[in-house]
Amino acid sequence: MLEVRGLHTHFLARGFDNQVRVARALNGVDFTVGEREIVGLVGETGAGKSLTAYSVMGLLKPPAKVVAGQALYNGRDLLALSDDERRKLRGGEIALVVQSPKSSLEPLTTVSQQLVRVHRAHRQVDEAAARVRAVEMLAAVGIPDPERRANAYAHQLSGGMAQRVLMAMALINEPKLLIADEPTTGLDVTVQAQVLDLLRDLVRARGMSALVITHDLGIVAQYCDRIAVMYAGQVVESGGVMDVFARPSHPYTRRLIASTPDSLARRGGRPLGGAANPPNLYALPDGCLYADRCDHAAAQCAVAPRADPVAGTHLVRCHFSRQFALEPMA
Amino acid sequence: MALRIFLIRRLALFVPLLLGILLFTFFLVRIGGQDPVGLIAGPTATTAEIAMIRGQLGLDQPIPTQFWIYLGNVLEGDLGRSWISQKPVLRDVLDRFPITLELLLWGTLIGALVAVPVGLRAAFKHDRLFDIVSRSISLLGFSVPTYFLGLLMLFVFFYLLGWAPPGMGRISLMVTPPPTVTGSYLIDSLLIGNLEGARSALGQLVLPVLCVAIISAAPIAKHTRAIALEVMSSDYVRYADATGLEPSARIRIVLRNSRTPILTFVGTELTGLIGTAALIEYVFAWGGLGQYGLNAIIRGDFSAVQGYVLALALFSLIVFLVIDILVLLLDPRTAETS
Ligand SMILES: Nc1ncnc2c1ncn2[C@@H]1O[C@H](COP(=O)(O)OP(=O)(O)O)[C@@H](O)[C@H]1O
Ligand SMILES: [Mg+2]
Repeated sequence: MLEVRGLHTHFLARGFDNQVRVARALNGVDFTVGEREIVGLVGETGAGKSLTAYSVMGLLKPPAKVVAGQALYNGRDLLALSDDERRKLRGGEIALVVQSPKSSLEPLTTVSQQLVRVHRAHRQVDEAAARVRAVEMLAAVGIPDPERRANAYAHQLSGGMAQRVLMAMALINEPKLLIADEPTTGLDVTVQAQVLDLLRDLVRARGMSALVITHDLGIVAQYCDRIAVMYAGQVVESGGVMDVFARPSHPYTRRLIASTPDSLARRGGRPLGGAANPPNLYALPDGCLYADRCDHAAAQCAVAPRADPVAGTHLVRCHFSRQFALEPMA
Repeated sequence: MALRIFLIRRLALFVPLLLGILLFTFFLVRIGGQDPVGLIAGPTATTAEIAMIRGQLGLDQPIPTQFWIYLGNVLEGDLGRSWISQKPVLRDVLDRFPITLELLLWGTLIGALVAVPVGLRAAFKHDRLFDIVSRSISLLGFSVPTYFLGLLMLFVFFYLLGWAPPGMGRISLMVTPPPTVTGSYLIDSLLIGNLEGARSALGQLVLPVLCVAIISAAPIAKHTRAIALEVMSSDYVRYADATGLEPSARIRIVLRNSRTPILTFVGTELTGLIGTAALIEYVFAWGGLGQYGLNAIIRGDFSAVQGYVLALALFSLIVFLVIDILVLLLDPRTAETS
């Protein structure tokens, strides 16, 4: 369905000394989302998760630029499409739910007008039919009193409601692939569970695929089929949720799992302790990007590891992955 | 409903604001170091004459008492008498305000009509040729001194090209001015069907209006561009892109959300320009409120200065009130918070 291969995204900026400085934010992101699969993309804040979503959707703004890689959607490279082709896919077949729902709704237009607009941009329907459909969608994402809420403006919605409205907007055209970027940050725990349950049910009921971006391993364990773990703009480990949780084979994944999901969630996805400085994207090492934070770093780590399978589709970017795969977690 | 509450609150706010402005200008004028008595009495006056004039003007009273008397008079609609024109200040201000307004409103309107589309287009063509060229031109508009611009216009369009009439007032000396209805010679001439008068008034208007337009256009274009660029970098525009809207729908979103900040800026600009207009009035012998105020300040005509400042303050308050009402009607967010 969606196959991201070797995605590299850089920020190019000119410093005061007029030297071009490159922040290498994505350094080879590889993962796949299969038909009817829910894939969780995890990693600490700044790992490049949102950037991955924006790169795939073609929504980068300068100075960000995709410098290499492919994002194949049913075999077509999304990164090589014309503006027109890309626009037809966006919001129609591939929908995005973003991290900041309230500020992503247009302030001067009602909820229903925005839903109608998105619907009519992709489907040949008249205003009245689109409006009926908009209210249906609001009901489907669990918004109470959808008729009335349809006439609300963004500033009249709570964060949870705004998140649901975005979901309604994303789903109104029955997309085949949904990308949800931290769909529940900022919501309280009960609402969080409601939104995620709803998301899963809708995705399953409509036979869609989904990429769920989160920093919360608990969410991945509960809602996803597959997982991709990101560190410093790379996917360091990916595979079936069962396999990865049973045999985490990258030291970073192991560390994530060891620091319980609860504590990770409580820190809001901030980097783990230890050598906690986030990697400097302007001066990344040549070898393994995780080496300077890794307890097991060795001489080999000066050479960049490839993502190799430890079993089936369980891929790990570490020279010692096979060892780790055999070593149970303490 | 929201509108009525808003209006009542706003008008209630006017009272302390105006009082503050009265107090402020009253004292400001008095610490200015000018003594109108000497100027009125002339160089040959004796000490006794000076004392007499001082008494007549009430300037021998302590300053707080003077202020109380002044305040009482203002409330009765008496702004004092200008010693330059020898007429009640209220009369002077009412006579001259429309004259300045005509210049200012046309100038700012034309300036905005040019600058807003230019600013928007520059934002949509960010860093492309149109943007760079329009920014350079508006930089010119920023850097040229008002006075010089007026003189330059006269030099080129009157002296060199002969396209425009000399900058000698609001209507040709050969034409009888129409009876005053609105105070605008152009409109008043049209009202009585005097086409010759209207043509002459229009001719006189062109250059000074053009000056105001040029001076207002530069900042309006710059801010319009900045406002539109900010809207374009907002989350909701990015999200609109993410939902695959047509480019035209995207443009509509940007325009809709730039509307009220641009409007507010043009209003601010309008109130700010009234000072600039004074210089233009000078160059073109326009004889409006700006020129009147400038004269009064230079020559220490206390009552006239106070009347002038009060008129400016009222004008600003009214402009901001109108803008706020428009914003209220255009933006549901403000309707709720007020
Ligand atoms: N303008 C920029 N210049 C350089 N680096 C940037 C810029 N904007 C974002 N980044 C970097 O890109 C990385 C990826 O950010 P993001 O995708 O938002 O992370 P995540 O969603 O995983 O929290 C971050 O480390 C951030 O520091
Ligand atoms: Mg993010």
